[in-house]
Amino acid sequence: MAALYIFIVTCGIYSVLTGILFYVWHKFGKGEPAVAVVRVIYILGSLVLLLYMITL
Amino acid sequence: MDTSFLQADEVVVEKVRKSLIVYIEDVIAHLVGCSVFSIAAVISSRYGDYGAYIAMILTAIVLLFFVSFFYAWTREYFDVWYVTNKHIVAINQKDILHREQVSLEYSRIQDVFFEKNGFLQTFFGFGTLRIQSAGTEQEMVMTGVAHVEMVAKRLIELRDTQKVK
Repeated sequence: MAALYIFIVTCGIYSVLTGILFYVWHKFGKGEPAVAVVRVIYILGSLVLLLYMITL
Repeated sequence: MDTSFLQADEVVVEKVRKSLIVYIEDVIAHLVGCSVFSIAAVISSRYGDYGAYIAMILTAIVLLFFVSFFYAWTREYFDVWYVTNKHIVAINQKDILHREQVSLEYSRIQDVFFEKNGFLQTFFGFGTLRIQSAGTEQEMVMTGVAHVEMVAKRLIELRDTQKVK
C-alpha cells in the first residue's frame, strides 16, 4: 500500500510540473524542431523512470 | 517560433542563442544528481520491502532531477535575441513562467561589447554580450552567447548600416 501512495504522490507532482513545462513549450516554442525533439526525449525518459518505479 | 512581436514588414535576420557548452554544463550537473540517486535506488532495491520503498523514493528524486534538467533547458533555450531588420528583440526567460521582452531600435544602440572570461569561454568562443542604449541607462545583457565576438561585430555592422539609411 505504501508503494502505491509513493507512486501516486510522485505522479501528482510529475503531472503538475509536466503541465507547466508543456504549456511553456506549446506557447513559446510552437513549430521549433528542437522543442519537438526535446518533448519526445522528455516523454520517453520519464516513462522509463515511472515504469521502473512500478517494477520495484 | 512565437513571432507575435514582429511588425508587418519586419524580418528576422539572425537569432542570437546560447552556446552548446551552456547546455552541456546543465547536462553534466543533472547527470551527476541522477546517477548518484539511481545507483542508490538500485542498491536499495535489493534489501527487501523497506529497501524497495526507499528505492521508489530515490527513483522519484531521479525523476525530479530529470524534470529539473528540462526546466533548465527551457530557461536557456527560450533566452533568445531576435535581430530583425528594424529592432533587436531580446527575450529574457528568467524563469519557467517569468519572461521579459525588450525591443531596441538600432538608432538607440550606443555600444555593443562582449566579455569572454576563463578557459572554456575563450576556447569555445562564447561569452557575455552587452548592448548599451542611448537616452536611458538601460543595458541589454545575455550570458553564454555562442560566437559572441562574431555576433557583436554583426550587431555593430547592422547598427551602422541602419544609421546610414
